[in-house]
Amino acid sequence: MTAVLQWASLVFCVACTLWRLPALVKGRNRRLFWVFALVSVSVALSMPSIYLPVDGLLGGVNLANVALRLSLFAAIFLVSAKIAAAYKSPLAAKLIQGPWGILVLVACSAGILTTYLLSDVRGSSTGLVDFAGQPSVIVYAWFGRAYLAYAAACLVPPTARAALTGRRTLNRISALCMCAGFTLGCLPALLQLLPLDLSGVLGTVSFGAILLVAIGMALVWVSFMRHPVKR
Amino acid sequence: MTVPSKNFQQWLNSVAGTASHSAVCRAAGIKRSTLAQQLVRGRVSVATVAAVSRSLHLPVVQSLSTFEKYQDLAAGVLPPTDAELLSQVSDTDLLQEILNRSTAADNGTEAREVSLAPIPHRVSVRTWLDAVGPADLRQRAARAAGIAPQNLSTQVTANRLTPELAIHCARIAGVGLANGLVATGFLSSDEAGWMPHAREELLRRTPNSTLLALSAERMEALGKTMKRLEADAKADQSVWENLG
Repeated sequence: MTAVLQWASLVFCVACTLWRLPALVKGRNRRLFWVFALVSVSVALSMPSIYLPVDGLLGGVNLANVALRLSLFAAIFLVSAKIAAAYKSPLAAKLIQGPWGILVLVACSAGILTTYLLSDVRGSSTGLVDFAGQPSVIVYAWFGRAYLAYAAACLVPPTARAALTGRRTLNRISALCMCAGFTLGCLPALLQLLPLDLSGVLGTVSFGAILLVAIGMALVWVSFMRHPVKR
Repeated sequence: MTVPSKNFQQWLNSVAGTASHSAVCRAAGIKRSTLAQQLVRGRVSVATVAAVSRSLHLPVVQSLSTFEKYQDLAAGVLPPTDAELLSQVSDTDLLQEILNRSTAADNGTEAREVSLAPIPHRVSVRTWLDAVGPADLRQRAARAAGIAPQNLSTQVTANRLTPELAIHCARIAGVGLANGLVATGFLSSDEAGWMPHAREELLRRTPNSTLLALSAERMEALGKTMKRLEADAKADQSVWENLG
């Protein structure tokens, strides 16, 4: 299930990145291209067949996993501003882009780097599963999920409101997809608090979340192509 | 919304005799496949009954009354009240009448007669409900039909109302049972037994103050609708501008 979702997310995100190319050239919402490029990189690096060769190139000390975490942070930080503006939620924008949001981002990034340096992670291992017993690796994973959950939680209310009140069906569905995606995105951080082994479920939930948000964005583009903004 | 197909077949046999289904459909302007599908599903829509009935020059209200669900419809036909008639005058016609009267008063001439747009106008369902209803009409009608009040609201916003609901509303409001079907455009005013030109005659008799009060109500409702539409359009634009 997780593998299917991984491949589906990768293909979909790469397709979205390519889809944004013309807009990138024309200068329309360029940021979305970079967001999808970053997400594609993150998803690609979560798959052994891509992670192992890439990490080998980087010295085999799992630096690629750090790159994965940080590019995902960057992607959600960049896209959250757009989503908050699109659904007119100054609160969400403030919570993510404001001083407090930046502080959370910096703290989580610093946490990632610190715990990475504190861990003994020689030898490539996708998702650091071989080192899952080390306390510093557990904290590392916790930081990785914490920021995503924080940013996703900020975006659940505005997308939910848009899903409930929008006029165009397609825009409501896209908001609903994003809302569902962000809700799923909060889950890993909460699930890991439970004293259960949920490693299988966590993957499914995370990639399901990425896929849902990407589908939501793609639906916005479909509706945009049907109804271009009047100048 | 529908009648059982068994009863429909019986009715069709009694009114159309030996005519084939395809002949009936052709005359009524319904697709043969639509009728076949409705018969297979066991539920024939009342719109089909109305179309067949019109094609055979039978009174639609009488035809509907042969079905159990609508049996009191024919007996419940009453002429429209003044409020109902005025509710079926469109906003534009109402304003035009006021303008004509005002121009005539200024010039000391006879007011020109407005030729009214055909029923239903753009918000005919809402104006009809407002004209007939006690305040809790919508809630009671939704309960009687076993649907959620939001469901009814959605229909009214789209200027629709299922025949079943229209009849429930008329029954609760104590007006002619077929009158709501006129407001939804399901029946023509003639078919519901309204006098020809009843709206025009009433409009001419209505005093200025009543017309002005009515138009003020209509304008307020229109303003609210416009405000909502503009807010929705703005929300869509914002999504497209930021994420498109």
